[in-house]
Amino acid sequence: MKKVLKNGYMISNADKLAVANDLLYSLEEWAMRGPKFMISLKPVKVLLKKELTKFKEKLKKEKRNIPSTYSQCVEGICALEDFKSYKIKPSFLLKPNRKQVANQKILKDGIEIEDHEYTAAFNYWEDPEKVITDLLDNKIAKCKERFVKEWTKKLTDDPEVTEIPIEDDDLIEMVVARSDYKNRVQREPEE
Amino acid sequence: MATVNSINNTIGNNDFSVNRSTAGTAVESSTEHSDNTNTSSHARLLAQVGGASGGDPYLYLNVLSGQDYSFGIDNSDSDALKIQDDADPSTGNNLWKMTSAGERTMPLQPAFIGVLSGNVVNVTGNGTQYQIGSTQAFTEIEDQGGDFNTNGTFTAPVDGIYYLSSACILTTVTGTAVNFYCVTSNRTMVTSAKSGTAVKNNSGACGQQYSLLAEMDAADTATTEIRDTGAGADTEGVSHGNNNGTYFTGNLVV
Repeated sequence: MKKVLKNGYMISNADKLAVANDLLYSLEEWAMRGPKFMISLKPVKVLLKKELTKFKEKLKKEKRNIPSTYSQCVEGICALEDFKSYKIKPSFLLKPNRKQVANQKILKDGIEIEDHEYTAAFNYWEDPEKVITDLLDNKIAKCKERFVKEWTKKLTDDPEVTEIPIEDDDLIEMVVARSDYKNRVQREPEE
Repeated sequence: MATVNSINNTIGNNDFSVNRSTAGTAVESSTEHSDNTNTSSHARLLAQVGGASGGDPYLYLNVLSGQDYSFGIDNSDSDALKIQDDADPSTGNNLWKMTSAGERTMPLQPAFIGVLSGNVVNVTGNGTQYQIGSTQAFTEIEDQGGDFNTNGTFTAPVDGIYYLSSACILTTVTGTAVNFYCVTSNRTMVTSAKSGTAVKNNSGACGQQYSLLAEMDAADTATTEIRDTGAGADTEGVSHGNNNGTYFTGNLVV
């Protein structure tokens, strides 16, 4: 087994609150689902789909059969003489707008993946560590964007509200303190 | 012999290149027509090759030591108009293609088709919400982009709006409220809520289906889930059907 994101990831309180507005579980758990898949199984699948034919040609020349495990196939593919790492960069990824200091560490133990997934990840992505960090940044940014958009309208429509905080983090903290606010876990059973 | 003019443009061997190295300024080559009175006053850039046995006419975009893309006609592929991730339309990965008849394909656009590979029994009926594929895997018919896990989880590779569609055959139905869900990271969509006893057939089976557009962030997941209540116990199952009756499909729309 190998680890990525060994140093964990830092979030702020407002980040956490904005994410809880959209998710039924923590950001940490979210990271162990989609982002983990994107640096483990996805690179393996893509490498096998695109490169297995070349690997088979080589094995055929050497009069060998195809290994029966993903692990051996990935190692064999990446060892092909003409194999070039894809070095894919993630795109469309936003950075969260933060006023608060990100002082709470999550994913302290990193994300553990199989050895062959690690090999595949470093041959598929330009920088798998950065992929995970960028995905977490993007998720927080999107949750904050939706939170601010939804509540700016609600606060504008509320005659009792005279001012709306200019900073996203202040707005989030203010809204969560309201008696009529419910995060997704609190909302879902009612829907 | 090459001729270099005062602003460093080069004409040589019948090639013409426009170059600049001054930081903070754009280098530009343009074809302009200033007339605004005649509809034939076109401005045209031409890339033309000698014939069917020649090379490709195309536009090439390159970041030095980085990504490159080419857009043009692949002379060796029945004159298809292509976008490739390489130096010319005949090499590299095809990102977008239009045949000369107008059919367009995007071979790397995220899209998946999974069908349930077998039957499962006793998964719901007493309120248990069951993720289809979690104990009996899907068979992957297609997975462009490698974003589908056969445990029934699709992971969005980029922010976007995704078309998701699923159907499921619920078996040995005795419960009273069948709910079929599309569960994405940001929301759960109950796509049908029916009385199981009212919708089941003579064999005790009932079909559920949905198709919808889901807004997903990069790395968000989507699953398809079923839940029935009122059976007293989890005595109901999911059938793969004789004709791929339980499936999960999707693709990136925009």
